Amino acid sequence: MGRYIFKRVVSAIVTIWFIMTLTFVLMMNIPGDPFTEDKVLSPEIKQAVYAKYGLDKPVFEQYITYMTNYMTGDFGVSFKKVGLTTKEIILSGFPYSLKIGAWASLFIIVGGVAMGVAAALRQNRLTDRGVMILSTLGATIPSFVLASVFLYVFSKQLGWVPSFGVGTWKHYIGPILCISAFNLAFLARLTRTSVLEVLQQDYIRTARAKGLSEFTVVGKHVLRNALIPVITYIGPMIATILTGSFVIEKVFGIPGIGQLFTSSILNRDYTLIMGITVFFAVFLVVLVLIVDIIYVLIDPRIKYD
Amino acid sequence: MDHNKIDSDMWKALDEEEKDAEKVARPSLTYMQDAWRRLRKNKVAVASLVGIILIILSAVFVPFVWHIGYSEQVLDFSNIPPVLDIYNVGDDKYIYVTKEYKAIQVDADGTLLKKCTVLKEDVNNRTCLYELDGSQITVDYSLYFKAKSKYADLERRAQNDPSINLGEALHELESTKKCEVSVDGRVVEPEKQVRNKTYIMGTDYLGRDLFIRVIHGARISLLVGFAAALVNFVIGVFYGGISGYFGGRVDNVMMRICDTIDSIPTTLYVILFMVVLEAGLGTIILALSITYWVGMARIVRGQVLAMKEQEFVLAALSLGASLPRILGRHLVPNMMGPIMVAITMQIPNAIFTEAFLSFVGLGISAPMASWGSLCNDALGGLFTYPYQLFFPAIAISVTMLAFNLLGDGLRDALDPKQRK
Amino acid sequence: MLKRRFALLMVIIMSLSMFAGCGGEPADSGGGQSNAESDTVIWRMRSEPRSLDPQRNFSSDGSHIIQNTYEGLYAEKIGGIEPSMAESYDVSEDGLIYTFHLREGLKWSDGEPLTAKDFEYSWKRLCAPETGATTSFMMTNYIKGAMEYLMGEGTADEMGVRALDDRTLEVELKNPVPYFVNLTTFYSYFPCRQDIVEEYGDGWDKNPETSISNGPFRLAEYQTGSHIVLEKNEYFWNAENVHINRIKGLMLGDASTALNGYEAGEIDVMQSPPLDEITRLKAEDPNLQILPSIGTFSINFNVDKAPTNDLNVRKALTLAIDRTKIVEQVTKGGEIPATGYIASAFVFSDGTSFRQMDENGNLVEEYGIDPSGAQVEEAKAALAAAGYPDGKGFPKIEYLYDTDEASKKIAEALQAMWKENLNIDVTLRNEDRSVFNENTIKGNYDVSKGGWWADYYDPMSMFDTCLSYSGNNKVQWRWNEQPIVAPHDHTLNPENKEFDDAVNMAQQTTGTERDEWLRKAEKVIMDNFVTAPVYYYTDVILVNQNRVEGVGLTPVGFWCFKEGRMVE
Repeated sequence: MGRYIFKRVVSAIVTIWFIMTLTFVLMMNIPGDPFTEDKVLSPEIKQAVYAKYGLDKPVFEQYITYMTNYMTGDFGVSFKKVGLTTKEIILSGFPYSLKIGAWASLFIIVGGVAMGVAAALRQNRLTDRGVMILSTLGATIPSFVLASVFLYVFSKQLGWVPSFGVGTWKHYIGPILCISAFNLAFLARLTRTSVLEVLQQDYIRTARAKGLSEFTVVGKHVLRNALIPVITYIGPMIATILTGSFVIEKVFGIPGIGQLFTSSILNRDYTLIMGITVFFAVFLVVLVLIVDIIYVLIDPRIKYD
Repeated sequence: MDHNKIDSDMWKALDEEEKDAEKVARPSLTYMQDAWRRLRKNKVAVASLVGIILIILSAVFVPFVWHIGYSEQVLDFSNIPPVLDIYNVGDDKYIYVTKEYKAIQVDADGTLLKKCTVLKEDVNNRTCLYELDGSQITVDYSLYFKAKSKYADLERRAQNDPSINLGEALHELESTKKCEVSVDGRVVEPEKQVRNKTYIMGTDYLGRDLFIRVIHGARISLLVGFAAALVNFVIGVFYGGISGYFGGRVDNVMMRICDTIDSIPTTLYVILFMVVLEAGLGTIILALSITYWVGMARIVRGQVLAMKEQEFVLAALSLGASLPRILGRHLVPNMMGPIMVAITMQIPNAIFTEAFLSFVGLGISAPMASWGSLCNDALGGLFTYPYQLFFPAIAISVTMLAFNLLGDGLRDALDPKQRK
Repeated sequence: MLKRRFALLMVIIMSLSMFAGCGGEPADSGGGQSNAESDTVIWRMRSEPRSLDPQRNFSSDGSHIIQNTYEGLYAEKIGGIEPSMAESYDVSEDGLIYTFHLREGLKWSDGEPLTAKDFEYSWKRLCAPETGATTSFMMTNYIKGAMEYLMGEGTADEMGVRALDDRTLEVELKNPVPYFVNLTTFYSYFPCRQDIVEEYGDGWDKNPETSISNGPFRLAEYQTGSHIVLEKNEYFWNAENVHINRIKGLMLGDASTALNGYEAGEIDVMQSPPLDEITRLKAEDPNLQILPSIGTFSINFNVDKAPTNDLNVRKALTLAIDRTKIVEQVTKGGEIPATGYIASAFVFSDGTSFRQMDENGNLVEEYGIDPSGAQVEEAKAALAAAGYPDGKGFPKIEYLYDTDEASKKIAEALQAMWKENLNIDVTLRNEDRSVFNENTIKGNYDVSKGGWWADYYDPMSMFDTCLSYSGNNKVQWRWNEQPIVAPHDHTLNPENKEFDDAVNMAQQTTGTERDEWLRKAEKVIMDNFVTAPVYYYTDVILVNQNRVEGVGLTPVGFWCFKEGRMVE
């Protein structure tokens, strides 16, 4: 038991280390630097600024500094948002992305699976056609087009929702819908495919032959097996969604973390790039770790060698 | 009736097919032939396939025959929609007044001729005087402005005076004409609506033909989509196949790597790659490929894991089949369903990601166009020129639709379990 | 197994988000109009300010805020400048010593007295090497001893700024600077509080508790990535004439979103709507204003690299541009087609415009550049003179531009014009801003997007782009080696010396004599075609007059709220 948890923790740490190193290598190879602006700095000033942020040191030394600082929980200060620490910036943006992402995930999973199952059970009938058309349409429009058109119609023309920002629940309708569209469509299709496949299996025929009610057949036998590929897909999907969408956040004017990350790359704000990647990595790895450990604790059937 | 008499015309050789009427067999078809046979029966899939081929063919060949190049611009004809409301200014001469209140001479059938000569532009009074073959044309666009100023004034007073009916005023504002055209002092109304003959889909902000730009966009977008999906497929099958087939420790390590990669938000890594590498089409494809193969690898691995214990694999193994043969001959065909679904979603995915990169400003270099960059360019003027978004967006949607439906058809056709 | 694990994951995520929804989010943020905001001006800023520290900032978003939360000895207002912390000043005979007399009873926003010592401290702070102030050139070029202090060759005490008493500040200049009072309206010259800076260090400027300022407004709230709130500073010297109580600044990057918000009544004040919407707004919206700006969009030629090292090639490229088409069909913001490097909004010492105009106020041809269209014949002749008749044999060149809506559109238009008028192929290359800046500074380009905004209201600020000793000399036009600012530039261009000398003379003279030197300096740039001016920038602003009036831009182009008033 303890051994299992230990192993999982070690592998989580290795994962995070790997991500940090990869990000660091990429980051150091980005052409341009944080202090190149429209108007040039004089060489003395540039030197002073570089020294202030430790950018004048050899790359490997900087790498070591990053690693040791992160171990002590010091994420450093932003280069471009002077006077703010990386931690402050991340913690201010993440709640918005998390909120939108969590609701969107819920919406996608519940909606997508329900639509997919409904379509599969009514294959080639009206429900199926309807779901397929809807889901196909959802997957055929780029999110920034969808978001812009959504704003054009529901905010500008109809005035039903505010045009940007966060605050009331109305502000969140657009972002959640637009961030969900593509994945909802994909999930519905995936579920449908998977359920159809399971429905052809012999054990379903057996279950039906036994006289089980359709409800039991679907609920107990079909879903259980059909959802496995679906769940495989959902994991990474949630990861992507929770980390915020640059497009949606930009179009809807949401101060989330997706915007932060993109702008930090375009600004070469090294500490912020690193901070956000590490934050995501830790967030996801720890989340999965906790789930696994709790699961082991509550389910004695799992062997943890 | 003479039963014994046999009609002579019953004595003749049987048709070839009838000879086999008793035979319970069907022609031996290869796997692909069989799949093709079944795909052909699926009308929707065939229609989609034809659609995709048409799109590809037009993307490849139309630019060679079309009379306008994708980067050719006529600045005088910028932002002209595909449908024109034209005014008759006498002597069978027609003009079109753009959304920017510029007068353009057109034919009765909608061919753009030239921009009218400006005699005097009065920005403060919002009128513009044009000259066309001796007659003077005034475009007065101050009406709406005045109505709006009036409304704004009313709105301001309404804050203190509840008796003012804003709704009525708003209605009045909305029914105000945006501009008034008069020829030699006589007010004229739009005579008819014609299709734009010169530019069938209208022009963009630099007066370029939107049609050929959408076609050109198809080239770029499809190229990106296909290339990325192909690379993903190859890496995914290879990686996932090995991982699933060998299982155990190999699988463990390989999947850990996938987990790690999954812990990094992919779109963000695409941006990082794009910034690190030199901008260009190749970079876009590369960035998409190296970040998106994990999904495919997982699907393949899952399928291989589920299938490798099945009897047909065991049978092949005991017959001495090699690993590549088992993978290529037995496993891959059997999991073509999920793979096809994944691929048909990956092509749009790649096209979308390219569009996203255009949105961030890291897409292909101007004046080239992809569907994504066309959509993105149109967003700024969405309120005024919605058609500029409409056409590329429709192009994306139709293509995606075709891919999705074809994917569905392929899944059914390639599924060996349905080989009845 | 997977299913349960997944369900658990979902539960955790949902509960986290509920938690986030309760705790992490301020009740009132971002857009959306509520009744509580009826006394608040909603102002769309573009992105997060880099810094709100007068000496540390150098981004435009930060300066808009600082210009409203601080004021210098003199301050800009919508129509010009006015005495602010100082009520008057004396200049010595030789124009080198300025003595500023501060108002009586000046206070910081926390009620502490503000004295001349605060100015002395802040100005020295700007030039202290350890500050690393990126705008220090705004002072080191003028004040005696400042450059030496910055370079570590002198001390703070030797710098020519002294508080003689609490209300008198004496400044000693290197050369006479006729526009020195204008400089004091620039944010780098604003005071900051020594005790705060020393006690709280980095970040004091963005924390409402410690962000003590002396301007019409003070920082009341700072939500990173989202918005700021400014409130009226009751201790401002002219507080009785400030009528806006609260300003909310939104960090809203997307122009379309912002315009949408403005049209829905959720934003009162904004700048730069999307280019394609400007014409419609111009025709329909009474709230749109187009203001001339002190900057020039130009095209830079790399004078060190073939084929643009040939003057005739540069001349051909310059003359083949149809400037009117670009401003009317591409940028659309009422920009003025350029006839020279210095924008028409700049004036000579007698107050007349730097540019020649006809009786209707339209610019007329200067330096052989006709603003109304391309001069195809002259351009072709120049190209032929360079050895490429009708574009034959002309090598492929690249036009470099940065990621930006207007830059891209202009690039595409230029490419087509050069193709049509000169029959030459120019490829376009897009780089994101950071790489773009690096490559243009180092001269890794053939032809590139240029453009320059003056930092203060004097043509001198425009010439920084061509001085041999300036790092901003992106055209690589240098008559001598500059190992510090441009170690890469070894190809020398002797004509540049004439320009350097003219600027040098302009720095030492005044009045009409100085005007002549400024004109001469511009002439050298234009005669050598090192950069091709295309148009003079404008600022396009939208101010909802139903909500707020008297808000606009200062001559340098900063938002100014102190004269504004909410509409009742």
